[in-house]
Amino acid sequence: MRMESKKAWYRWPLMAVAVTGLALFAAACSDDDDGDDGGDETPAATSAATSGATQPAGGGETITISAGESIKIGISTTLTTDAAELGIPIRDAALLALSERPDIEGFSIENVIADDLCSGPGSEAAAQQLIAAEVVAVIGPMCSGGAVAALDDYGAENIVVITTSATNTSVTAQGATNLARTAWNDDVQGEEMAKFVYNELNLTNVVLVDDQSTYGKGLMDVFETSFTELGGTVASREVVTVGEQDYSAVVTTITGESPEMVVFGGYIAEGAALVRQLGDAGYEGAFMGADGIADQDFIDQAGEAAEGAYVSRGPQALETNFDEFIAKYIAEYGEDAGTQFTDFTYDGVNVLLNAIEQVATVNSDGDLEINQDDLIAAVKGITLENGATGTVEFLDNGDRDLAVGAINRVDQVTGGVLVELN
Amino acid sequence: MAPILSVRDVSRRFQGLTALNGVSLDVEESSIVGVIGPNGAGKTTLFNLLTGFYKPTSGEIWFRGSRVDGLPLHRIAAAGISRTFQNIRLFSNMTAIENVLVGQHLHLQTNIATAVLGLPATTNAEQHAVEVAVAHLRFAGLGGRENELARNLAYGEQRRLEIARAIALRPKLILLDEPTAGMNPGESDAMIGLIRRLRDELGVTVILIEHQMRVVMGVCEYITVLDHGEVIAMGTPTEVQNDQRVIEAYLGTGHLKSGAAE
Amino acid sequence: MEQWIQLTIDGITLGGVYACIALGYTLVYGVLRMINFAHGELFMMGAFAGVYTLQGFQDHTSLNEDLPSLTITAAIFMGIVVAVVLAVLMERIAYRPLRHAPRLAPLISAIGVSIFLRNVMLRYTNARREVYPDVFPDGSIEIGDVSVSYIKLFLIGMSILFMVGLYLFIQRTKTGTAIRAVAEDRDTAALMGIDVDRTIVLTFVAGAALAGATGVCYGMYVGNAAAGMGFIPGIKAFTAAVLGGIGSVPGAMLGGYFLGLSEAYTTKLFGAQYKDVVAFVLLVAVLIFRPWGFLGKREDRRA
Repeated sequence: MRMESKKAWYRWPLMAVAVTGLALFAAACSDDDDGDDGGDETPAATSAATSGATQPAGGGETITISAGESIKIGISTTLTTDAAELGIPIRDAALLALSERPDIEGFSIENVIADDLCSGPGSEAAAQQLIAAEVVAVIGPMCSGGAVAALDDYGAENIVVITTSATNTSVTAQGATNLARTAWNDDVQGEEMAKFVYNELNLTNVVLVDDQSTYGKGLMDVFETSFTELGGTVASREVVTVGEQDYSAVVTTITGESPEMVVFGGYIAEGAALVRQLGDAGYEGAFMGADGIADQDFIDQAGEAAEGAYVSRGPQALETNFDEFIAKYIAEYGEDAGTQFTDFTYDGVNVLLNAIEQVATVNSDGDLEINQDDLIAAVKGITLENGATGTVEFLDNGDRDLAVGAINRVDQVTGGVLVELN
Repeated sequence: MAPILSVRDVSRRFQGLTALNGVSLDVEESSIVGVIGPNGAGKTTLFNLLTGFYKPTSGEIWFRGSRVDGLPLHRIAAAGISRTFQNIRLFSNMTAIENVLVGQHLHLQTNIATAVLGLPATTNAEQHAVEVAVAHLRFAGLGGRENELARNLAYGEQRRLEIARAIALRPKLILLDEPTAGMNPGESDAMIGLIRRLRDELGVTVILIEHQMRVVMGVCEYITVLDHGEVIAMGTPTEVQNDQRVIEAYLGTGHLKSGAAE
Repeated sequence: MEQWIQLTIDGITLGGVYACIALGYTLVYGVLRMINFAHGELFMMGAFAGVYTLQGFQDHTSLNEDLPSLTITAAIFMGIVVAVVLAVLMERIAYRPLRHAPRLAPLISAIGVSIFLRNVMLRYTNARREVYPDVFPDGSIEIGDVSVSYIKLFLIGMSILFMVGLYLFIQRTKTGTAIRAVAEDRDTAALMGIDVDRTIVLTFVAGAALAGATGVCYGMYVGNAAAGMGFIPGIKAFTAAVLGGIGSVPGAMLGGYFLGLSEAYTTKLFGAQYKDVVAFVLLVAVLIFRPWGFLGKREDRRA
């Protein structure tokens, strides 16, 4: 007959709960770790001394690729979890750009893709995977938290990293020399959003909601600072939990504050659920989100409640080749993924390939040589004309140079689609 | 008439240990048969083989003309064998009547939709099932205790509830494992009466394991004696009592003598 | 005050969802002493079945406008069917072969099934969310300053309906009684003529039907279905089941509502970032002082 221990039966669920509890905490904590420097506006200095990442190897190592081998480009993006909604189009855009330039100096280009899970640990694991695959350079990581965590790993190998979507200030504030970013720094955007709300819309009382990610929280931190300085009031700050969809209690808390506007920092799934449930609860104030929700998916998921929502697209170059790019993207993949990171990624890959073309030389044995320091310098010094996001140039810290002519674009959901204001 | 139960040369070994060795046994329909023997003789193992808890290592078990050894437990139950346990195994968090209703499982006809919606067809069937269950409880002397949780019943009541549950299966053969264990003489007498009524009123064949010789001799028509996993004697109570090997097997235990003396 | 009433309604809404999922955990735990960690994925698959059904009606008919009650019923029905079929396959392929293995083996197997299903859907949907067509009437009931949208009322009502249905099924039907008997003592139940294997399958079926149906209603409520949507509700429901006393049907319901309300109130009092912390502190406290949960039973079973 079956033996059933008399006393121990309950320890089993207890243990299982303890394990799941720990797992949840661990997940939550990993976000916090990345998030604490979210609003940090002071650049470089603090972290410059903290890692070997920032000291390039003296003279720079030269990577030698034997004849017949290929040049490996790593792509660190998010292919699973909810954030894959943004990550898969990023991968596709990178592959599109790579496919347009099949070889350099007769050496074929090979992509190595790693799933970075949009998290710190995931991005570090992806980094180790790509380093082990001996990549020359990396596009990614996708999320700010992941970029902050993985920069050291790449820095230790002196591998150049171009992130095309990690927009938090802290990413470039690390002082890493091997980094460039085609996407705009959130600081600019957070500030511009605050000005837009206060000056253009004349709203003074807002509630801020973020998704506790480095990006979302960081953006709202900047917004809060700027908005308060302008004279506005942040009635309260709330958070939503990624992966959940029922935010009614948060909504009830928000509507209790009767704000004129709810400003959200985060991504599509959470933003759409929040807007939808605000609508269900009869909230009639305004809503504003940022580039993390600048996507037709946001409108589809939020339904009618999205109508009238403002979406900050961040800085936008005045002249871009976006139309040409998106036509190619649609021809390849059938539809416009609608996220603005595809164009940043397309440009990022082209910056990288141009830089490699500049520095790669074929030696007397017929092998391709790429000096790592030269490559980093080439990336940082590049001028990419006619990019999908306009002209791309970088500042010393790796941030996009705004001086090339950009405006802050704000869209409004009108008739179920995003329409550019002014 | 063919025997209702036929155990043919059944052995059961557990790793190195032989619990039953070449046991053969025929039981006539509507008889009351006792299985006795010292502790560890293999009595409960025999019950476990008959109900399907174990499969015989060798040998065959036939019940009402078909072979039942190796069948899953619920199929043997459906064939008409039910039992009670030496250490009572009721569904202790269910009420008395629910225990009996579980026993009726094979005979209940309800379907999910009508039951959940409370349709009349179900209500009637349910009504009928409850009436039958109440009757079974009364039969076992538990009238009025229907809605008591099984674990709250007195010890003697729990034993009788096990019997009520066992007869709810409408078995042809019922196996009682020490039905009077732990009972005082008064309770034992009541149990003897109940066992007789199983056969006389319900026509059920009864096999019981029992240590109290007074009970065995008082109620059983045939007795099989097991020792060290083998049958050492069979026959009427009088024959068994006078069997030399039985007396030897029991020497020192005193059970048989004291029982027989009464 | 109105806000607290509103929060209570929010808590009951989410709590009902937790409770419906928790019942699946508790039923399966009852008969198998095993945590079916893939149960949250049945909720997710139900939500997908519902969204594809409604999208089908949207694309090929005008029934979503003309007769929404029919299409919603069909969506819930499909959610149940898909979840049930998956649960039966899951039990047969991933759990039954491990019935006599050490307890950790089916648990790992369940986690494997969970990851598998999630990734199949992630792949199938390309990580996009499938949006529910707008079939449910907008609008809300206003009582004073408290406003409850129809869809929220619908979710609250359906979860209660599902729970009552399951409760009656467990208490009143032959199969339900067999499930309870197997949960108490598998061998003795078999001796009563109960086919234990079949009863275990039916237990999975009952839990899955509930999860699938709840998935559709929840999907309609939040407006979409996504591959990852079952994970957190699954873990929360499991927590609710343990809080209420795993193995206890009323306990799972109570645990679900308790957790839902605790999350709603904590969100208001301390902010949503602390709701999981508070929930787990409560859980640990309950387990220290009452390891068998609110309504669980200290087992006094004999070996």
